Amino acid sequence: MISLENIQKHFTLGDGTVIKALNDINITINKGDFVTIIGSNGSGKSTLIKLISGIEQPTAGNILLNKRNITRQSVEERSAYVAQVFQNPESGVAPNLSILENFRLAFLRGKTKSLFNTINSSFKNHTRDKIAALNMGLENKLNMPIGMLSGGQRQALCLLMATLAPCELLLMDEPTAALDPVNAALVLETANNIVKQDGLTCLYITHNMQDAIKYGSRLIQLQNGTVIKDIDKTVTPITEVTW
Amino acid sequence: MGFFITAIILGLCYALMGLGIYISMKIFKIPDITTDGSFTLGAALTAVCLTQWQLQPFTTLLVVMIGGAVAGSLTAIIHHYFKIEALLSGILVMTALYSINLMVMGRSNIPLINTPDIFKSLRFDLSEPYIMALLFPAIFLLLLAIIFKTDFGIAIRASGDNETMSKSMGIRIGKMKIIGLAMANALTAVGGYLITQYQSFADINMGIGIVMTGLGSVLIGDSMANAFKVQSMAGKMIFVIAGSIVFQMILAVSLSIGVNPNALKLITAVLVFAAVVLTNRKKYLSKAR
Repeated sequence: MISLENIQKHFTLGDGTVIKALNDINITINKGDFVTIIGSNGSGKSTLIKLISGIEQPTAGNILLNKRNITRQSVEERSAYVAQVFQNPESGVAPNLSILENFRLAFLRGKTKSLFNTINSSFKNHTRDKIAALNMGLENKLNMPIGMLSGGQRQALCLLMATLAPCELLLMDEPTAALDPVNAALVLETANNIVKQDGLTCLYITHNMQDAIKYGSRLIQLQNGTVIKDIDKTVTPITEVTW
Repeated sequence: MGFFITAIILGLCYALMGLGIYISMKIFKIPDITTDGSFTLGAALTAVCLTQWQLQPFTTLLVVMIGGAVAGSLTAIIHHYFKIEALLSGILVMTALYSINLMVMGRSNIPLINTPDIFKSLRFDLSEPYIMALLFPAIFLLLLAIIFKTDFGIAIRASGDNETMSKSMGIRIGKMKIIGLAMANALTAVGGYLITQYQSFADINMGIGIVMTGLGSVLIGDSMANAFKVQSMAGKMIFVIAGSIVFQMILAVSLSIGVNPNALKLITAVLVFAAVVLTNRKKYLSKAR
C-alpha cells in the first residue's frame, strides 16, 4: 500500500559537502504491517520517516500511497492520511490550548476547520472515555492547557490524538525517547493496543532491540542510508539471539 | 476629574489596537510593527472618508477595516512566503505605509469639522462619548471570543503555538498567519478610526511609536489576568482592554502632575520596559538562585 521506489536523499552543507542520508531505498509496506525500523544514529531512520510524512522531500525516487504518487505533497496535504507521533512530546501538542482543544484539532486532522463549533457533548464524552482508559487521571482536566502536563502524559495523549481520526499510516519516531522507562512502557503498550485494535499500518523507529522484536511484525535495519536487513517476523520467527 | 474620563475613553479607543496586538503578540508571538502604519492608515482613511468622500461612519468603518487587513496580510506574506523575519517585515510595511498614508490624506493633517462621526451622528449627547467608546471594544471582544472558540479559531491559535504540530494536523500556517495578522491590523485600524473621531483630526504622525501603547496594554493586561488567575481567552482579552485603560490613566496622571508633554513617549517606553520586567520577574528570580 505504501511503496518507496529508488528513494535517495542528499543534504548539501554550507561548504558544498554532500551528505548521502539515504541511498536507493526500496520498501513496500503492506496494510496492517507493524514495521519497526532500527539502526544506529545517522543511519537514516529519521530521514526516512520525514520523507514519508512530507517534512523532507526526496532528492530522487517516488513515494506511492495506494498507487497514488504523493512524492511532492506537503505535510499539510498528507495529513489527511498520515498520522504522526513525534520523538519530542513538545512537538506533538499545542501547549497553550486545552487538552480538549488539542483533541478537536486531532479529530479534524486533514479536514477543513470551519467557522463552526463542531464540538458537542458526545465528542467530549468520547474523548473523556479515551483519556480515562490511560489511567493517568487526566479525564477531569480536559480544560487544562496541555503544556502543563508532564512529558509522559503529553506523549500518551499524542498517541491518542494521532489515532483519533482515521489514518492509513501511523508514523512513530522514537516516541519514547524522552520518557522514563515506566512511562515509555505505558506509551508503547497503549500504542500497541491501539494499533492492534484499529488494525493500523504503522512505522515505528526505535533504538531498543527488545521493543523492536516484541511489537514489530516486520523489522527493517538501516545502515549508512541503505537497508541491510528486512525480516518478516510471521515468516521467519526471530529472537534476540538469532538476530 | 475630566482628565480621568478622557483617559478612560482614550483607553477604550486604544483598546481595539490592544486586541490587535494581543493577536499578533500572544497568539503568533510576533511583535508586529506594522501597527504604527496601520493605525495611521485607519486614521487617514477615516478622515478622508468622512470629510472628502462624505461616507457614513459605518461605511467608513468597513473601509478602515479592509485597509488594515490588507496591510496586515502584506506583512504576513512578506514574512511567510519571502522568509523575512517578522520584525523586519513589519518595519518594511510600516515604512511603505507612511507614504501611502500621506497619499491617502493628501496633506499631513486633516481636521474633522462639522462632519458626522460615531460620537455625534447617533444623537448621543457629546458629553457621553464613552457609550460609543465602550460599545466598540465590547462588540469586537465578543466577536473575537466567538471566533477563537470555533474550529477555525483553535486552528489559528494552534498555528501560532506549534507549527510542527499544526502542519501535521493539516493546518496551512501561511494562510493562518495572513488571516491572523489581517485581523490584528484591521483591529488596529479601528483604533485609529476611533481616535481620529474622538479627537476630531487625523495626523500623519499620530501612529509613531503607537505599537508601544498596544504592547504596554497587552503586558499590563496579561499581568492583571495572571494575578486574577484568568485562563480563558475571553477573560484575557477583557484584561487587555483594562490594561489599555490603565495605560492611559498612567499617562494622564503624569501629565496632570506637571510632566512635560514632550516626555510622553519617554514615559511610554519606560512603562513598557517596566511591564516587561514585571512579567519576566520570575525569570530573574530563578536565575538568581
